[in-house]
Amino acid sequence: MEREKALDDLRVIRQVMERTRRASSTVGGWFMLLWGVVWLVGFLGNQFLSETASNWTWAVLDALGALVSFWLVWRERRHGRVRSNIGKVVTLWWLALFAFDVLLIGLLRIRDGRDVAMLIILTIALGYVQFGLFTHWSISVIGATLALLTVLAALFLSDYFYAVVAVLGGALLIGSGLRAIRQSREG
Amino acid sequence: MAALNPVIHQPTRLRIMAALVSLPEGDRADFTLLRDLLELTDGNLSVHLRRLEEAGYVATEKTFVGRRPKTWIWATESGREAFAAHVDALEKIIRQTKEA
Repeated sequence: MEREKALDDLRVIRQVMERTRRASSTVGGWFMLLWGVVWLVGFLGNQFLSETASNWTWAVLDALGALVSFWLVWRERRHGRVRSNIGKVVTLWWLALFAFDVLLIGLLRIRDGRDVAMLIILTIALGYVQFGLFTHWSISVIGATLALLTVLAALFLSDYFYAVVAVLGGALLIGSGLRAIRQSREG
Repeated sequence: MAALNPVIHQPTRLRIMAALVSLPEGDRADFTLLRDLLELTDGNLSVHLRRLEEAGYVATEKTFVGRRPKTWIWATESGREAFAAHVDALEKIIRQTKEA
């Protein structure tokens, strides 16, 4: 076999593998888009609404987000073109991180809304970084960027902390979600 | 000369195996995903899948979603090993011809 043919074969293999990965990860983009919208609206609520109103906003957004997430999983199982066990792992992963935050907030008696927000945002960022290590590096970059922007907003734009976090974090998630959806459609 | 796998070496089967191996172990691809992704006809894909199945490199499962039949396809462990060995052989050819 000639060198050129071997190089061609390896090139084809790489292209097919990349296209398959993109085409098979349809639901991930929708999740990022959904939770990006929840993030954007929720944190804008923290910035511009009263504490009671923003708490209610979060409760409604989280409930809606959970419902739509369940629907996305159901739809993927019914119409998806890849059957994967990764969905269960991802759900358990986020539940474990959520339980960790609840435990920490309780044990350390964190009461300040901004501190709670910081903890939750950094935990989500950590989750993205860790998850990206096992899936795709770009997810780790999203997590690291989110953490960095959050810390910068807390340090230098504390009066507009929630608004900055809402716009930057929300835009990052929504943008990444739209990009993933587009890529999965292009295949 | 490095030993290329004659079953996987065929261009269409090479692409089928590349697609299946790119999914995490345990994941299964729908027949239509492979067909559309690799731009093959139903008949062409079926023929090559049968050849790979005979070699023990892929496995299939036929199910129903509602009334619609669905065929799931995945690379077996020996299929993944054979594919990795084939890629190693290709890389070895490139290295050897570079040195020569």
